Parts: sequence; structure tokens; C-alpha cells
Amino acid sequence: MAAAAAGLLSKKAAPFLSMGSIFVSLAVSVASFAISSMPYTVSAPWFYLLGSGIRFSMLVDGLSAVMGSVVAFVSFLISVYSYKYMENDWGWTRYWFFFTFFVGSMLLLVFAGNLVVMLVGWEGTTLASYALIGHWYTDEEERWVGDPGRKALGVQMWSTPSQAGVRAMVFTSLADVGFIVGIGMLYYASHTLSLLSIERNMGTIIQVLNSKGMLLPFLIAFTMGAFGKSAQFPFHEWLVTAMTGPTSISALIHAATMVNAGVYFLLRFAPMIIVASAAVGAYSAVSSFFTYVLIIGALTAFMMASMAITSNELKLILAYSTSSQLGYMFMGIGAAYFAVPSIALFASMSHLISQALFKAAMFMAAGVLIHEYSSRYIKDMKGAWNEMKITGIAFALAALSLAGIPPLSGFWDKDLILEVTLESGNIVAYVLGALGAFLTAFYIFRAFSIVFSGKPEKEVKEGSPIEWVPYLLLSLATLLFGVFWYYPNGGLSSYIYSVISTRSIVVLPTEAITFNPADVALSVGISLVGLGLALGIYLKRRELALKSGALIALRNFLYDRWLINAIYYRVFVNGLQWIAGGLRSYIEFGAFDRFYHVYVPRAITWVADKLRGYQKGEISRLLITMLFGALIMALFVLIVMVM
Amino acid sequence: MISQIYVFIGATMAVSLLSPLFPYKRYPYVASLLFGALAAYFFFVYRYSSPGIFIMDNLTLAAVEASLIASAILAPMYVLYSKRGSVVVSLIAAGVLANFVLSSTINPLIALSGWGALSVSSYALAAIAKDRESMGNSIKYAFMGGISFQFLLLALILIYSFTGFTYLAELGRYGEPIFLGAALLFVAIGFKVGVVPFHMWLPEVYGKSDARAVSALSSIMKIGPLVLIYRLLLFTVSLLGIVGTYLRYMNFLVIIGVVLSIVTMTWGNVAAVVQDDVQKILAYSSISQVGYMLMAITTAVASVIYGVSGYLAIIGLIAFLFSYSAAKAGAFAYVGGLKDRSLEDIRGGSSSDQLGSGMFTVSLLSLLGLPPLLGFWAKLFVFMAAANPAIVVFYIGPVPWFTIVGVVNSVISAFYYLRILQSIYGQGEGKAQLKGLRFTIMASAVLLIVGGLLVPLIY
Repeated sequence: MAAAAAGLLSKKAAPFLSMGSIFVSLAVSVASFAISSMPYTVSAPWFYLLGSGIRFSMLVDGLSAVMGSVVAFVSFLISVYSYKYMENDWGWTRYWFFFTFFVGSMLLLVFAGNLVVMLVGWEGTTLASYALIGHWYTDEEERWVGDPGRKALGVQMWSTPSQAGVRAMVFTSLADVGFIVGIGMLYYASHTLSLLSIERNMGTIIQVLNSKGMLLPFLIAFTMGAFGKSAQFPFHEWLVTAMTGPTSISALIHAATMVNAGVYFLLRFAPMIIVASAAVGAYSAVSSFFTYVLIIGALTAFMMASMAITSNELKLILAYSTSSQLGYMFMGIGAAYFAVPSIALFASMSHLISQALFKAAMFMAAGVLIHEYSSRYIKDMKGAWNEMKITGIAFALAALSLAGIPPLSGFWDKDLILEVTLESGNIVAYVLGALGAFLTAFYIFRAFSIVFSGKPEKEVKEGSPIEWVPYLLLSLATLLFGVFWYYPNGGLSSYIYSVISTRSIVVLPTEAITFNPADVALSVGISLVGLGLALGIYLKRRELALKSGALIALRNFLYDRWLINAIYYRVFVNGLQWIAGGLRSYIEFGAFDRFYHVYVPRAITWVADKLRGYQKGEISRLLITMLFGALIMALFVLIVMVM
Repeated sequence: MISQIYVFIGATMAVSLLSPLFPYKRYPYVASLLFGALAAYFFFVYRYSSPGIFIMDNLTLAAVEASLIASAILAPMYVLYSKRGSVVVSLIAAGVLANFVLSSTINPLIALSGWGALSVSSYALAAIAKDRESMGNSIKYAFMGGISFQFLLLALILIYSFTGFTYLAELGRYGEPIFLGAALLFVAIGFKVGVVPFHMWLPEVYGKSDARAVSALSSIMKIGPLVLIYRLLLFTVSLLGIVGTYLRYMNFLVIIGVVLSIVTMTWGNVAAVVQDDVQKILAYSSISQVGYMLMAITTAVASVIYGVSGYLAIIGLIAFLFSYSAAKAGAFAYVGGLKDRSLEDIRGGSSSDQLGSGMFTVSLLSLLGLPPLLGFWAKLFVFMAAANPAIVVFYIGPVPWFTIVGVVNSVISAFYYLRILQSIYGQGEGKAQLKGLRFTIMASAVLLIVGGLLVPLIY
């Protein structure tokens, strides 16, 4: 089921092998809907650990079938796009190897039947992500992210591909430590790692951990990996600098698939926790956990959107936007405990699908724009509309969907998320979410109008059909997905809703999805205001002149990513360096090094010199030593006998 | 019907006695072939012959095969370089025979005869170069050997005088003399193999005599006594154990073994650190290697006392017999090709003979115990065996201190082995004349590598 990492036969065969295997995965994923007896598992013995056999098991249920199909569909289109986009790249075979390895790992993660298999896929995506972000590891300046030379609090605010790759690895792996600790705690509480038996035993697990007061720490640790993967605060920093990778990779990994793994992970486990805690209690720990998810999600959604309004790099805006949209999905999951669970979780899943469609489209369009203008800054792009109408249409459709304008898909699910948030009663989260929605409409149309309006200063032309067909398809998909999303008695939404709610390993009771017209009007209004404001300002004037000092400070604060990156470096990196330096000079050199390399050799040499002095060739000394030794031995024997 | 064993003894004796008549100079590798054939034949004897008065077990097999292989490796070297090459072949064959006798018996008379054969051939071998230094050292060696022989006699008398009793209660009264006898065994056999503090002859002979003669001395002439002390200790332990009132003595016997083993390996390693002469370093390294082997023997005996499996310790001892004899044969042979032997003078010696120096490196690394060479497995098995928690004497609380001492000693030994390597691979004018020695050095290295790769498959 998982696409095998492509054995790289030759330069020519590599992409086709990759596309072919992804296409097969797509076909299989879609076909898995036909399996009537979901959840359906396949497993085989794998290896032994801690005295119990770990099986290599795959699980197909409603959730993994939907997720797998989305992943395979978007990956396939992006692989087609890459064929042209990465043409003549010097890392061509390496690119395809990691591309396929990534998709394989991602599908392994999605269809994993137990936590060990899931962890293998999970870390496989981390590894592929590292390699692909650092694809251009020679670090030419045009591959950087951020303004070269810019510093905040004395910390560099730009990043080279090789730095960014390592950052991605470090940030996500740091979060994965929590994930692994969580797996350990889970195993301790239930002695199983298979998803099906975890589902069955979730009540016991919650009881056992709650009785020791470890339930909340467990939930936070266990889901920490998901927060890292999905670039939620405080792990969001890696996604921003991950934009040093090829744009097709940004579309694949950092918009449409890998970052959604965290959401998928929560969608997998949140229903189990909700159902089990309804049965066994433990209300306080579980409700604190879901509130935490809700608030982190809302905070990330707002924070990243606010950063996006000042950014000057097209890909960077999209990266902020990705993290922000993932925040909305987390909000939906967080609200699930307080509202109707099946609706809230479905809202997240639906938003995941829409985001995958429109964000991948936007990234691919951005890739073509960056190629054509040979610049990553939006201010260098002007008047793209004149020559690049297809790109413009695709980008506009996707942007409208992102901004939440009906009837595009982004509107439906973002609105549903805000609806359930309001229903959960958490006003702070709702306000942050609504402000985020406003900022979203603003930043994306700011970028749109700057890039596409005006007179072109440069000859540009439309990209090749191999490039624009995939993203046009995706943007049409987001339109169609939106148009057919909702009918009072059906629509696409109700099909997906019923699949993920009733055919997954946790069956949730479903209710009819309804919208409150006043709320809908409010959120659409907010979005339209943002949209209109952006168009109004940026279609006419190219720059917003900031006069007052406070506004400039605010802009710099946002531009420097709320100074979070700088603080991380100041506190963690420099702090650790300071500790390491102290350890090195005092403990390492002062104590250990001196002991092992000065005192011990000196002592041994001293003794050895004495021994050498004793070893004279005289026969009398030879004899005396031997007899002396024999005497001591005889004395010893005598003492033992007398004792 | 004559047992095959006697055929083997007769054949070895024939090699020993007839060798001086054979023109080895013209056929230098015939000696190797003869020893090889004996090795093959002994394997056959071991498999298909009834033991008779000799003990035929794995240890006997290992002792004889190890000494035969070392002989086969070494013989061509003597034939090629020395006028008295055929005499050396004769002496080596006598040594092999002595090793067989010593390693396959607990009968005191047979042991004494083997001892005599081994002693005579070692003293003669030490003097074979006929230079002043070698002659003088050989005389010291023989003189000290005479004294140690007294100790051996005394020990055997003390142990065996009382075994004639068939009445157990009678035997039970004589635990003290048996214990004392066993302790004196350490003195006598400890002298032969170089256990501190009975080792004083060893740096003289190994460190200053002709290195090529030493390579046979150090590799072949230690094997028999090592197995003998193991067998005799086991025998005395079983004597003490028959009555059951002397369990205390058994423990103290083990403690003596442990102390001697630690003193030996530490002394050898520490003293080797400051030597500047490659041959002397190797001489002291011989002492420390004996310490490890004594560790194996002590552990095996202690395993019997504590009723646990001594399999690992025996396997370790066997691996040591092979790895030690092969590595020492090669290493001393290389030193035999050096004109000046101080670390300064051999600086850069590798450039004159890359291959030979590489092989020399292999034997040093095997002595150090680097995987995957044979010496690594030997040390690994012995250290693992000594870490058996059932042998409480080897433990302080949860800490297997005997093993730890062994490991720490290995670390110290890295210092001087690597110092030699640093010297020969450094920049300098050093030269190694390996003409006639190359076969020995290469064969030893090949044995160490192939043996090391085979161990995990056989074990």
C-alpha cells in the first residue's frame, strides 16, 4: 500500500517510477473506500520488543481512507508539476528519491495499524523533509529565506537551506521526544500499541493514568509530536524557514501533506479520548487538554496570520498562512470536546482537505511566479495578470477559498470551525479565530493585488502546461468541493462526514450540520472587509506609508516573527552554548581531561619508572624476588590455615 | 593394539630427533608441512582414539593444535635465517611434545617428564643465538628454572602423598598440605609462564635475547604449563571438595589466583608503558597476557567451585592460547627484523615494508583485543565469564571488579601498543629487514584475522 521508496534506476526513469508508484497508491487509496467492512486491518509479524511481538500492521478505516486519498491525489499532481519545475536541477535523482520516500512514509503513517509503524512513517517524513528542505545545500543567496543581514535582538533572521533543514529536523524531533515518551506511557498503561486495542482499552488507560495524576501530562506529551509536525506554537518556527526548499516541496510537504500529519494524529486519537472519557469520567484533565488544544490552535491561527500581513516574500506569506490554517484545524479538534464531537472533528478534516487543495495550488502558482520573476519578493512581481491569466485565475480561486468567501470550500469549513468554537463557549478562542479570519483575507489579497496588479516591468510568460494544469486542477477542485459541499439534505460534506464518523475505528453519533445565519454573515462580513481593505489599499498604492513610531515598531515586531525566533536563540541556543562552554572548560578540561591525561599518566609513569629501576639483570635479585614471593604465599597459606 | 596417541608421540619424537639430519636449508617449508601434518593427525587422534592414560578433551586439543600451528608458522623462519635452523626445529618439536604431555595429564610423574622436556628445550632455545647476551640470560633462566623445579616437586609431593588413602576420613585430615601444595604450584608454574613476582627472568630473556628465538619461547613454551596448572588446581579443588570440610581453602585458592592474576597483568602493563625498547615492551606485554590467561583459569576453577558453567572461561582460555601464541610469534618475528629496537630508531619503519608492518599491526591489535581479531574474542569471553554474578568472590556488591580490573588493564595496554604503531607509522628513517621473516609474520596475521572471523561462526 505504501509506495516503495523508488529504487533509482536512471535519470530518466526516476520521475516516472515515482509518479507511477504514487498513482498506484492513489488508485489503491480511492479503491479502499469500497472495502465494506471498515475498519479493515492487515498485519504480519515484524520483530520482538519487550517480550511482545510487534506486528507490521496496516489499518484502513474511514479516516485513513479519506486522508490517504487526499495525500495521494495532491502528491500525484505535485509530482507531475515537479517534472517540469525541477527540470535541469543538479539534484534531480536525489530529489525524486526523497520525493517518493516522503510519499511512501506519509502513506505508511496514514495507514499505520499500530504506533510503531506510525512512528516509522512519522520519522520517515521528518527525514525526507530535512533532505528536501536542504535540497539546495550549496546555500546560494537566492535560495535563502528572510532578508540577508536582518537581525532581531542580535539574532540572524535569515536562513540558508542547510540551516533550515537542520532547524526543521531539530524542532520536529524535539516535539517527537514527547510523542515517544507518550508511546511509552501508553504501553505502560495498556501493554498494547495497536490502534484497535488502544481504542478498546482507552477507558482503562485514562483511568490508570488519571489515578496517578498523569493523564494531562500524558495527553500533552503524546500529542506534542503532532504540534511539532503541524507547526503549532511553540514549534512553528521551523515551517517558516522550511521555505528554502524547492517550491514544489513546499507545496507537497509544507502545505498539503506532512504538516497535516499532526492534525490527522489528533483526529485519530481525539475521538477515542472523547468517547472513553465520557464513559469513565476524568473530566478535569481531559477538558483542560482540549481547552489547551483549542487555545494553542487559536493563538497560532491569529499569530501566524498577523505575521503574514507584513511579509514581503510570497512563499513566506504562504508558509505563515499554512501554519495559521493548521491552527484552525486544531481549534476544531479542541472544540470537539465541548461541542458536537463528530461535527467539530469533521470540520477539521474538511478544512484539512480544502487547505491541501488550495494551498498546494497557491504554492505551485507561486513557484511559477518566482521562476518567471527570478525573485522571491512580492514587490519585484508586478502586473503578472497581463501575461499569466491562468495562474492568476488559479491563484485567485485558491485565495478566495483561503479567505473564506462562499461558495468556495474554505468558506464552509472555516465557518463550521468558528461555529463549533462559539458553541464550545470559549470566547477568547473565537475572537482570535475571527480576527485571524480577517487578517487572512487581508494578507492573501494584499499579496494577490501586489503581484497581479499594475504594469509589468519585466517580460514574463505563462509556465508550461505541465506546470499549470496541476494547479489549475487543484483550484477548480477547491471550487467544486465548495459548490458541492453543502446542501440541506446531502452534498459532498455529508458523504465524507458519514464516512469518517461511522466507518472509522471510533463510531461517533452524527447530527445534521446546520449553520447559524447570523454567525455566517458575521464571518463572511469580516472576510469581505479584510479582502476589500487589501484590494483598496494595494491595488492603487503600492506601499502603505507608516508614519507613527508605534506602527513602525509594530510592523517590525510582526516582521521579526514576534521575536520568537530571536528569543529561542537567545535563551536556548545561547544558553545551552553557555552551559556547554562551562562544562567544557571546567568539567571537561578542568577535571576529566586533567585527571585522565595528566594525573593518571603521571602516576603510571612514576610507578613504571620504579618498576624499571627494580628490574636489574643481577641473578641475586631475580632469586630474592622469587623466593620473597614464595614466602609471602606460604605466609598467606599459613594465616589461612590458622584462621 | 597401540593407541593412536602413541603414534602421535612417536611421530613428534621422530621429527625432533631426526630433524638435525634433514637438509631444511634446501626445503625451508618442509618443517611447516611436517608440523601441519602433525596438527591434522592430532585432530584425527583426538576424534577417533581412546584416551588411555592421557586426558583428551577440548583443552588438550587446543593446547596441542595451538603449539603445532605456532610451530608451523615459526619453523621456516629459523631454517631461513640461522645456521642451526634444523636444531631449532628439533627443539620446537620437543616443546610440542612436552606441551602435549603437560596439557593432557594430572599424573605427577608424566607431568615431571613433560616439564623436563619443556625446560631443556626452552633453555637451549634461549641460548641458540650464541651471543653473549643470550648465553648469559639462558644461564640465568636455567638457574632460576632449577629452583622453580624444586617448588614443583614440593607441590606435587604435598598434593599427591595423601591421595593414596582410600578412606575418605583419612584424606580429610590432610587438607592443609594439599592446600599448601596447590599454593606452591603457583610458584613453580608461575615461574614457567611468567607470573609476577616469579617473572624476573622474563624481561631479561624475552627483552634482551635474540628476538627470533624469543618468538618461539614466548609462543610455544607457555602453553603446556598453563593447561597443567588449570588441571592440577581443578584436581586439588576436587580433593578438597571430597571431604567437604575445606571449602574455605578452595575459596582462598581462588583468591590467590585472582591476586596473582591482577598483580601480573597490572605489573606487566604498567612496566611496559615506560619502556623505549620494542622488544622489552613486548616482553612485558607477554607478562600481562599471562595475567589475562590466569584470569581465565581462575574463573574456570571458581566456576567449578560455585557450581556454575565454566564453559565461557574455558572457551576464553582456548581462544587465548591460539591468539596469544600466534600474535607473539608474529610480533617477535617482526622485532627480529629490526636492527635498532628503540622506539626512536624504528620511527617510520612502516615505509620500508608496508605489508609486513601492516601484518605486525594486526598482531599488536589482536594483543590489544580489537574486534574482529582473535584476541578480541579471547578477552571478551574471559571478561564475560568473570562477570558471572554467581561467582561471588568476583563481586563487590553489584560490581564485577575482577572484570573491571581486566578492562582497565586493557585500556592501559592500548597506550604502549599504540605507541609502537605511532612510531612505525610516523616520519623517520627506521628500517625493517623482513627477509626470511615475512612468512611467519603474515601467517600469524592471517591466522588472527581468519580465526577472529570464524569464532562467531563456531562459538
